[in-house]
Amino acid sequence: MRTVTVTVCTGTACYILGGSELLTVKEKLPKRYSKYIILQGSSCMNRCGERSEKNRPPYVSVDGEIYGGVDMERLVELIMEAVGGDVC
Amino acid sequence: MLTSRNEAGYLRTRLIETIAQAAFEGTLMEKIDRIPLELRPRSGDSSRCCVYKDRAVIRYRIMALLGHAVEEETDELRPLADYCLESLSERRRPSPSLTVLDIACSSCRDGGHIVTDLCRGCVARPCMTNCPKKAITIIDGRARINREACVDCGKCRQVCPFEAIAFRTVPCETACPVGAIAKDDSGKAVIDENACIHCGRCSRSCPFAAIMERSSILPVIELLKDGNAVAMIAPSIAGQFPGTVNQSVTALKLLGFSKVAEVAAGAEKTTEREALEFAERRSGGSAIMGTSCCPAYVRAVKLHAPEFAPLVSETPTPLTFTGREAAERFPGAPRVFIGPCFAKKAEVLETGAAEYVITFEELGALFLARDIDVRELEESLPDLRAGDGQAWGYASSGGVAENVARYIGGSGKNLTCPTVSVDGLDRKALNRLKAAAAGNGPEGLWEVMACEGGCICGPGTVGHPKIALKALEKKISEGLTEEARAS
Repeated sequence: MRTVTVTVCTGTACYILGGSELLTVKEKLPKRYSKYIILQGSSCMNRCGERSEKNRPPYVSVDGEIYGGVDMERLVELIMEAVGGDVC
Repeated sequence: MLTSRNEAGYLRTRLIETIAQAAFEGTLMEKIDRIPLELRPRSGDSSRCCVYKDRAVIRYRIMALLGHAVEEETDELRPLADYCLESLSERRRPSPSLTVLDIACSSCRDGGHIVTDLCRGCVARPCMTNCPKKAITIIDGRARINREACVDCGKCRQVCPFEAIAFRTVPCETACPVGAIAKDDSGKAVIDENACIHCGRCSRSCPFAAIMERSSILPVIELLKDGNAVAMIAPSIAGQFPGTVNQSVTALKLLGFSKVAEVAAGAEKTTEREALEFAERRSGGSAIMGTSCCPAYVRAVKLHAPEFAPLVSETPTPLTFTGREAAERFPGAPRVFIGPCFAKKAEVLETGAAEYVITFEELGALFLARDIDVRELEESLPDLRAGDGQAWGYASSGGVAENVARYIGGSGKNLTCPTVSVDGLDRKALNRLKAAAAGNGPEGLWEVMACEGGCICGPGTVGHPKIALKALEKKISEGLTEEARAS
């Protein structure tokens, strides 16, 4: 397990199309994960013009890897995968 | 209940953006009938059975966005451009009534507890023994529920070891706090306008997004092109957009509003007047008063709990006070209220406090259409501002009563103001109001909010309520610090 930096795009498009909800992700994760996560907002990642299912707001980067069309469930998955190992 | 943002919400916001973009460019009339085709090309995926059905649903969504009711369609071949022309030429204010997109409505089957295939007709039969109404019998090795006897208490569902009992719900009907939704002969939802309180809950709980509000974005975009409109921003704007409220103020100016007024300024007057009114009522022997600012609850009282109506405060709402002041300070400028609420559309038709009402979702879509990134902007101060920031508290549950109680407590007459919070309207809440009117309720100022959590949880919001609450608290404390520094 390791510490993971989670960056939620808070450009206007991402924020109003689901990004603000993603900023509450820590509540959806098991408590023991909290200390492994650095959660932050970022300025526009300049990809909001795209509209396909995977490439659309809201964008999130997990340790520098950018994902589009992320909902809460997907973000929780991504984070748990990235933190990895037996978290206790 | 659906989460605040979901696929249906995503598609709706993006559609508003698409319409707004064309309207700003002045190409909406040419483009509008093509939009359903462009959003659902023949080669692409569909959300429903096929792209053709999707296109038809988008057509009706556009009608609602143009301010029309889907129910008023008499000719399916009438071009959208026609509806568009009508909206533009009259710059009309749409009726506050919600509209049902009948072809999008899935005709959900009636609710109630049902036994699913998971039932194994076990020997223990806890469903049968625990049913308080003896509504369950075992026939052919499977539990059956007698619908006539069942009261939907849910005990059978809780005790079944196979989780074989499900509760089938019709989301819009379940969400409606006043029983205003029924079904027509084909099972489609129909809203009884004489019972509806415009809370908007049905529209946001329908998983097919088949119920929509009728929008004013088209006439508002025309006002923005004219360039002299006033934006009156509800306190619940805190947390709806990235960055600070004052960055949103800059965004509003970039969009084309000439002035920005904080409705929190009017809320200060509401606080003062409501405190005085409550004092008068108490000295007159009436110890219960309901707040006045939530229009959905005020209408619910009128229609569904009339015995409480005499107890509702007559103090004008923050919007009314702000609308008056805006009219004095910026004469001739059309006023647009921007908030989380559908019911305010009905309120302004009655009071004339604003010319148009749009939601935060619609405002967000306008920002997207104009490529305005709020987070990157400088801050600017609104042209009409509240004092110390406390009045911003009106945006969340408890905040209205808190403001009034603080005012009364600080008036130096050694008075206190007990408060009661009715957080979210439902049948139970309406019964509480009826009981209070009959003398069975605690004395004090009753703050009633139709939306659970208050305005920051309204149907027209886009920010997550928890994030919005944090932003709101920050706004209030910053206002207090600023005030302290100034004095």
